[in-house]
Amino acid sequence: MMNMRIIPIRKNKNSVSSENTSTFTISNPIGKFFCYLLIAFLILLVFAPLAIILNISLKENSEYMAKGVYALPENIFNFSNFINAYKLGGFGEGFMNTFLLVFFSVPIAIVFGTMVAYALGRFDFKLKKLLFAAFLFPTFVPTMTVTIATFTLIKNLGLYNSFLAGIILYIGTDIMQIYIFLQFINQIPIALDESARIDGASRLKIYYSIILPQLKPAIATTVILKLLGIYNDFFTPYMYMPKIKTAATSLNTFAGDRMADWPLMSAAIILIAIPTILIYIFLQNYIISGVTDGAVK
Amino acid sequence: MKSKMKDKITVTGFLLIPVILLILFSYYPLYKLFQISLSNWNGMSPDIKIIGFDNYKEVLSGKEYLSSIWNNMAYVITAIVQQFVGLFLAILLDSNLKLKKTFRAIIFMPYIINGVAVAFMFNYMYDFTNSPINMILKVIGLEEHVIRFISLDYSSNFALSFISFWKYVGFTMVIFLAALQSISREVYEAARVDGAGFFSLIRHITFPNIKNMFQISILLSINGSLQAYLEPFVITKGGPNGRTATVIVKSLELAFQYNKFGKAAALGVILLFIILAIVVIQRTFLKESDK
Repeated sequence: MMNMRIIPIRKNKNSVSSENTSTFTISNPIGKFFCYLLIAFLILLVFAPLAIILNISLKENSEYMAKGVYALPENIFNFSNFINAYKLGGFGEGFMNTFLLVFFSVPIAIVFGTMVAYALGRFDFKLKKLLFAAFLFPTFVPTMTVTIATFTLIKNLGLYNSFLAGIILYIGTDIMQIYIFLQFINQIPIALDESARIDGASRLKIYYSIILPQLKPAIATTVILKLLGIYNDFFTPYMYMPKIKTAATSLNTFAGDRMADWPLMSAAIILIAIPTILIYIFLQNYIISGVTDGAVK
Repeated sequence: MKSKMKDKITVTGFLLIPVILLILFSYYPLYKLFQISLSNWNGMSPDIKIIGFDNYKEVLSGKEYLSSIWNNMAYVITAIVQQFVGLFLAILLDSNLKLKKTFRAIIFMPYIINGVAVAFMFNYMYDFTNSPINMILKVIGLEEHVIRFISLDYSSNFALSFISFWKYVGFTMVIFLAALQSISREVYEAARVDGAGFFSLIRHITFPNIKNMFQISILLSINGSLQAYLEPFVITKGGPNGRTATVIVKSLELAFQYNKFGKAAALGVILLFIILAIVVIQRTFLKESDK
């Protein structure tokens, strides 16, 4: 029944990566040279620690002790540290649990986020302004300051050390998501909703057959950012479900005594860092524009 | 059924669970935090007995608590420096330099790397005997100048806050890039035609147009810096002797090592008020400057 055309929505034209023009022109060749020099220094600052870590992760501990940090590894295919780190840190379990947290909380977060945005974007009701404010205010309440209370709540609900603690804390709808979704919803012509209603479509049907498909780019961005956020989050699992090891908390098992074995430690660091770096290489445009959209709105 | 009624049902149905979650996990903990902060609760006993403002008095007069706020200032200063470096980079990478998109992508990359991994990495960089930085200093004959990154000095806090600078300066840059690119090119062109030079363009066009974004960015960074936790937790555990303990590190230590949940909550509330005060000051400032 609904054979209406869906109007494609342009990507946000302010997104950083899609711009190719320049605002400023540096014409002085000496000035230009120093600019490149400065940038080269910064790139070195970003890569040097990573390169050093990678270099020693390919060495045996004895080799590291004898030859030091900067000597190239004798065998660049020596992955023994990676295998040992994977086993010692229980990374298999950690990656699996992180995957489960993402698998259960991200879809729910998307459903809730889009539903809230649909209700706030398409309907007029008395408490709308208040609700907006209610969703906005928590962004000004730094989560770390409330930890003691959240911890007590999670314990009292009997969620301590259960998967549900992580899932529930991750599905919370935040205003950034709502704003990103709202931006897209506001661009969908209301005429689409109205003609669908005349055709007899319910509001629920309009939500999932008209609104949701149009939100695809925003949903993609939110999924990637949520995924990165959950993968990189150390505090939530450490605090509320310490018995369930995630990627970040399993890396933390290397704290303390094992720190003396730097090559092993470096391999562990790289194992945890690699997945997000790979995601970033392929999806950097989504990530950068998502991050800026969230902060700007 | 009337359309109005259907609207109501839809709105209620769509908002119900998210709002319940919001109240339960955002607002209730806030109430609970205040309640605990007024008690001497140990985190275990079934009822919470209110004792008044004693926790606040002790926290605000206790040297170790005030020093955690003082330690935290290093992170705030770093966050402010980060704004200027980020803005500078944004301007630099919004110019006619070649490969600027690649440079942007590289400088932003640390933002997406796992924080524990980054902290561990710097733990190695800062290790006195193994530090790759000290290795270089030794080789080039500056043996007496090897750096003790983590020591009894206040500078240890800067060593730790530099880690978040490394991780987040690209984020700040990207935010400013978005702000710069939202300024229409014609404004610049018109000014150029009028003979405005680089610094004049920056002062009269760029700065006024990114002021709001600057406020948002500095707020985000200060907010984050006041909640600094991971770097000291991973690298120093707040030591030596509490000299690198930030407010959050101190608060969690009080609660989970000494079972002083009341005092820990009071410290949380104080930090919360510091942050809210900054937000309010900024908001009023922002409104005034818009007039």
